[in-house]
Amino acid sequence: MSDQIILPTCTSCHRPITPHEPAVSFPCPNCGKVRIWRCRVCRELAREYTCPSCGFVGP
Amino acid sequence: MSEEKATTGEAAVKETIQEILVKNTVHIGSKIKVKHMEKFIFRLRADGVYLIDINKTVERLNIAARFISFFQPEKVVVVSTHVYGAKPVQKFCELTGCVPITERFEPGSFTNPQLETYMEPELILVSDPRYDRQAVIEARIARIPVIAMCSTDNTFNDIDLVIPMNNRGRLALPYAFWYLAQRVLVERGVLTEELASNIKPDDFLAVQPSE
Ligand SMILES: [Zn+2]
Ligand SMILES: [Zn+2]
Repeated sequence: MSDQIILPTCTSCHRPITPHEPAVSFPCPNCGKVRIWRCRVCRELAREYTCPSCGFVGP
Repeated sequence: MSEEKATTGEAAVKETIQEILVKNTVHIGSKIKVKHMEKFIFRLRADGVYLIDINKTVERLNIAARFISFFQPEKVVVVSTHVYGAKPVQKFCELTGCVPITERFEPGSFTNPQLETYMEPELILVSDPRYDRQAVIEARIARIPVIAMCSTDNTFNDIDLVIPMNNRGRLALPYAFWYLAQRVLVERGVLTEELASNIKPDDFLAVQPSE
């Protein structure tokens, strides 16, 4: 058994998202197949995210 | 007139949704253009007003409807503190089962469980990120994804899905919510022909034309 915690990564900057961070996650608005994660900084700066499944570019 | 298109075949028979929305000013932006909005702008009108690409508006309204359909209706809160937003938001919520917040957003509604108005939405839609700034701030704290209707002068900070459109018009907000309501019902697979014929833009307008 591993005690390693796998953190989700930001879809835009690929940095791991820590549990206490006010990040957000939601199903891709276009296809709903993938969970998009946006870290606090990327969201605040309105950095684009691209769905790895359908290619939708938000916000 | 330069804006008139040659109508042929189908287009001459039935108005497209793009034509209906343009007729009701959904594409009219403002005299200010922020960088974030550039990709949604069609052109600069002679009087200095930026016009929004209506195809992109419709595309984003469709995507927003799909996004909304991924959630339980009672977990989606629609906020509009704008004077022209109250009626369309109430009608939209009546049809879709989403939760309306109009006229005033009580601070703490998403962050303070002690409040009577406290709720825990999983998705929010705001009609203007500047007017509805408090809701956007609280959504950030509570980690709630945000859909925002944005004009050419709105920035996208803390917004997860943008609908580029005129978000201040007397007609624009009702027509956008009228179309969005239908699309949400389409995405849920519950829009029958009969129901569609009963969803009328007039019901989304603050003052009925006959009054
Ligand atoms: Zn990031
Ligand atoms: Zn996708």
